[in-house]
Parts: sequence; structure tokens; C-alpha cells
Amino acid sequence: MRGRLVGLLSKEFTHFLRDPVMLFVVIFLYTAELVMCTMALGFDVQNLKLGVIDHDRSVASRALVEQLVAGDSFVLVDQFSAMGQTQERLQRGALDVVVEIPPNFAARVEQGRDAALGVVVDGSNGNVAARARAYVIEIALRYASERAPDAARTVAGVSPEVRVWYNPDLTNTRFMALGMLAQAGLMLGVVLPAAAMVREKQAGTIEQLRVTPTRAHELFIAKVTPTLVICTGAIFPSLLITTLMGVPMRGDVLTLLGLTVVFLLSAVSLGVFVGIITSTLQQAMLLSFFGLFPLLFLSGTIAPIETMPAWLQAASQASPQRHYVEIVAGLFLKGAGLAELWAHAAALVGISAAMFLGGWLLFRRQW
Amino acid sequence: MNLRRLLAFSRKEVLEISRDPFTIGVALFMPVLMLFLFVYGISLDVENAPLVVVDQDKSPASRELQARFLNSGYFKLKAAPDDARSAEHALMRGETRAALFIPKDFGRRLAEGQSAPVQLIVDGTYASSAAILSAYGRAILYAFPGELRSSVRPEVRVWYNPQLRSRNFIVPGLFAVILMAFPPLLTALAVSREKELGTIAQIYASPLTKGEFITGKLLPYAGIAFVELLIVFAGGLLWFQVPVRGSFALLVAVGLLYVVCTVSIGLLVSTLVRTQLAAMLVALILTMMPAFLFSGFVYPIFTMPKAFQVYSAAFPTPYFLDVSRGIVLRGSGLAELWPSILVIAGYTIVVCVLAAWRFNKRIA
Repeated sequence: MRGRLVGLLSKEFTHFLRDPVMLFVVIFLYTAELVMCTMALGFDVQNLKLGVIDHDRSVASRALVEQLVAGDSFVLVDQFSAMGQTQERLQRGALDVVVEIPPNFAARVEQGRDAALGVVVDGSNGNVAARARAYVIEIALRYASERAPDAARTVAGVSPEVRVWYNPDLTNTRFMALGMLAQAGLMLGVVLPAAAMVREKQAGTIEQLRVTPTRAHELFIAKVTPTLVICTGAIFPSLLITTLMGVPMRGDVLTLLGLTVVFLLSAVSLGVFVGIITSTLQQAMLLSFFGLFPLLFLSGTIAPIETMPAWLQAASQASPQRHYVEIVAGLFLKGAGLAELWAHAAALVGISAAMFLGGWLLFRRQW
Repeated sequence: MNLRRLLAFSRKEVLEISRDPFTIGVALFMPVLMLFLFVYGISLDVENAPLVVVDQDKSPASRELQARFLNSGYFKLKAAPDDARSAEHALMRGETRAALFIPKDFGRRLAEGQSAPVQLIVDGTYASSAAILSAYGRAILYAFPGELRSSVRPEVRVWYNPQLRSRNFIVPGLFAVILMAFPPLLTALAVSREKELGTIAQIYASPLTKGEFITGKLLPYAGIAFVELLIVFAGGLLWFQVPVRGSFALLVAVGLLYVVCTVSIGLLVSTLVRTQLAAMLVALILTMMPAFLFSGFVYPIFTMPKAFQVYSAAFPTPYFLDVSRGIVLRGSGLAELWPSILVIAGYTIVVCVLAAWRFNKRIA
């Protein structure tokens, strides 16, 4: 049995290494794509472009503007005298937010009367818009609480201390790099074994295998091992890149390697399953693509999972990528270990067990 | 170009596709799934983020503060443990996005007019939702114990997309992304399949010219892609009821042009590689990834470094995104959009010529 397995394995590795485009794609996904996405998409969640229309021109209104630009949230682009002037810039994306301070603003604030603040946010980029709105509300409330007339201030307020852990400067870079790492693993982990399985069927060479004493599970092992080995190996250049990009590695590298293998196992189990239920390469490619896309979407890389409706949150449990993203975010950013991450690892093992078993049952009938 | 040969070849292609109902099913169902996932799955504002509250005070004031957080709509209670350690563990496991610590004597200090410290810790892993959560968290804390509505009242209006309806923003963007992601994938397999199966030798032996071959492959796939476009448009505009401010006819016309463009990209990929597997992965890298990540669909292009702005400009998606969002959200017309349309048209021609040039009728 050992001799058979070794023979099958060397056949699969030869197949894999024979196509230079494939090796290029693997390396590209694990390195270049990682660098590109991280550099380009690690967008700044701070420094929104602010335009101000100050009809009041008082000490109080200037203080408000100062407070708006004091933190990292806003950068003052320009002052305007009417809303009409800002319209074109908002449309171009040269401004994200316009704050309009009404006349008599100072007087109203001092008397504790209502002072409505006009705020216009460019909604055509929702990501920016939601943040801009939150920042403006926060700063306006702080301004008001500091400036409330004594009569309205019966007690001293709370002294809030808000801290952001694990990623204190709130860059998107670190998370993006990790998300892309997981993405590369899932993509290759599904597509490569699926193609390897189906190719035999389409080329008819599966008949040759059938007449050999090879057993179904041996074929499975031979089909998934090259992908497992190559994708696990590809983690190392990625680690180098994430280090260069400033992603901290607070956890244990061995834990990362172990959990990566667990994750890749779940990915290749999906790939094998796809390879079993399809009969041509075209079908296999389309189906794995079809499956990959929702799995990517449900991983939280594109949109955070907690912003999804409950049924999609539940569905996200079935995405191996979701668990792996939590695992790498935990390991790299939070310094978590197996004690915290075992639940995700268990979910991955569950997914692979289910897919391998299902695949094996179906394949036994074809075999 | 001989029209009869061209049509005969196209017919062969159509027959081939129509005998694979699985492929057609996937091709037509996939865009719909993507549309639904995105529209239902992406919300622009943060709602109901899980929050762990450690209330060591257990006074009316601390309960009131907790209620403020939970009634704001931004947070929902995940757990209320007694010790800080388990809150930290929940953060580390990713079970919660934020933790609120209310220390002992919070209520007493407030009542005595001293300043009462409160700590809110936000998980920064997801930067943009962390930024929103910490801003709202601060806003709630500043206002406490007064009314949340203070004398300075920011009246936020969101232009182009009032109520921040995510679907108004997402759907026109999805038109551009979906039509770049799926049609090329299908087409990318079109030539490499013939190469892998060896049927390409029959084409080599036939009198079919390069131009006829490329056009003959292009037409049926462009047809499928156009059906995909109609399905996606119908889903977005009828099911999700996204209002179109501009001309619908213009949107469909430019859409058709765009679809021909994306299909020809798939064809170009197909002429570049030998196997279907490679074709699919190269198509992923050249169409799906840039369409998703570098088109301005989720991540704004102007926040990218200059080099990547150039990279994203090298794909047709940002231009169609511009047209689609322009027509749907802002009601723009030809007068504003002609440069983008021109770019898409020019792009299509260049890609088709490249594909025809790359397709050599030679046995290498």
C-alpha cells in the first residue's frame, strides 16, 4: 500500500509542477496579490476631507471647527460661504463632509438653546459616509457637553476612556493582508484538487486507475497532498511579506502552521467534493468558483460579519475562510493561542470531515 | 470575413453551450446569488455590534448607562460577566467587538459631582467598523448623564443616497462588478477548452480565419452575458427597487458595450494559456479581483497610492462603475459620461485586436 501511495503522489506532484503558469499563479496569489491589496486597500479610516461653511464667524464657531479638525478624523480642506460652492467638490470626491454652522450659533449655544448644525455627507461612498456621520455626531456632542451653560450642568459628567485594542491606529492594512492570505489559501485549496480529480475523468485516465489496486481514499490522499504541501509552504513568503508590511505576529508561528494545515484540509475537502460531483473541467471550474464566491463573502473580509443579517451570520459558520480569518486575526493581531481559537479549529475539522465523508460516499459508487 | 462561416462557427458554439445545462444554469444563477448576497449582506452603518458589559457598580446610574448603549441601536448585549478577564477573553476570541467597563463607585461619584471614569474597549481588527463604534461610544459617554440630544444638534444629510440605503449605493456598483466577474470566466474556458481537448486542431484545419474565430466565439458568450446583464438589472431595479434617476436606455446600451468588452477580456485570457485551470485562475486575477477590489466598488480609488490608481485605471470596471452610478444615483447623461463610455469602447477594440493577434493558427 505504501508503494502505491508513493507512486500516486509522485504522479500528482509531476502533474502539478509541469504547468509553469500554475506555479506562477500560486506564488502570485501568496505574494504579489497580498502586497497589492494591502498597499492599495489599507485605506485610511481617518483624515476625511472636510469643508466648512461658517455663517456665524464667532469664537464659538471657530472653536467647533478647531475641535473637528483637532483629532485625526477630519482634515480641513477649505472654508466656503455657501452650500452651492461645495456641491461640485462633493460630486468629484474632493470633499467628504461639509459642515454648515448657522448664524447666531454662538449665542444659541451659550443660552443652551437648540443650535442645529447642517452636515452634508457624500453618500455615494457608504463606507466613508457612515464614518463621517459617526465622527461628526461624536465631536458635536463632546463640544456641547464641554460648553453647556452651568445651569444645565447639574452634575459632572463621566470621563470616558475609549481605547482601540489590537490595531490602535485603526489602519485597514493589517486586516487586509490577513484577509488576502486566507483568500489565497481557500481559492487554491478548492480549485487545484477539484481540477486534479476531474482531469482524470475527462481525460479518461480514471479507467486506468480503476483497474489498479488503488483504493478510493488513497486516490483522495494523492490528489490533495500536493496542494496541501505547496500552499502550506507558500505561507512562508507570505509571512515575510506581512512582517515587511508591519503586521505584528503576536502569536505562535507553530500554532499558525498547524491551524493553516487544518484550514487547508477543509479547503481541499471542498475541492475534492467538487471534483467528485462534476464530470468536466468546465463544470468543476464554474462550480468551485460558484462556491468560492459566497465563502469569500461570508468570511468577513469584504464586510464585517456583525453587520450582516442573522441568517447570513449563521450561514457564515459554514465558510472555512471565516474561521481562518478569525484564526489569523487572533494569532497575528491579538496574540491569541489555541486556548481561544480551538472553537474555530474544531469548526474547520468538522467541515473537512463532513465534506470528505460525503465525497467518499459518493465516490465509492463511481469507483 | 465570411459571414456564412462565421455564423456556422457561432452556431456550433451555441450548440455546445446549450448541451451543457449545468454551465448555463451556473452562468445565469451566479450573478443573482451575488446580487442577493451583497445587497442583503452589506450594511454601511454599524448596527447591533456585540458588546460585553462588565458592570461592577450595579447602581441605577450604571444600569442607565448600559441601557443607553443598548438602546442606541449600535450595540447589542453579548454577555455581562462580573470580571474583566472574561471580557478580555471574549474580545480575543472575536466573540465581541467592544467591551464596556463600569468600575465600582461609578454611581456614587456621579452623584457627588466627581468625574466618573468609564472604559470602552473596541476591537480594532475591522478598522472601519471600529472607528464608527468608538465614535458612537464616545458620543454616548459625552452625553451621559444628560439627554443624548444636546443643544448642539448635528442634522446630518447624506447626499446622493439619502438614508444611507446601502442598496442604492451597492446595486449600481454591482452591475459593474458582476458583469466583469462572470462573463469573462465563462469565455476564458472557451478557447482553452478546445486547446486542452485537442479540438482546436480541427479549427486549425478549417478555412476559418482568425477574425472569424474570435468573433464567432465572442458572439454567443456576449449573448449569454447580455442575458446576465438583463437579469442583474431586473433584480436590482425591480426586486430591490433601486430608482434610476437617468436614462434606462442609456444604461442598457452602455451595459451592452461593457459586456462585449468583458467577454473579450475573457477571450484574450483564453488565448494566452494552455489549460482550463490556468485560464480560470488567470481570469480570476485579471477580472474578478480588480473588479472587486480596485474598481472603487467598496474601496474608494482616491484613497489608494498613485501607482494603484494607475493600476485600477487599467481595467474597464471603474469606467462602467462611473457610468452606472452616474446614471442611477445622480441622473447624469451622455454630456457628463461620454469620456468613460469612450474609454470602454476603445478598450473593447484593443482587447479584441490583441486576442485575434494572440490566436495563432499554428501548431506550436
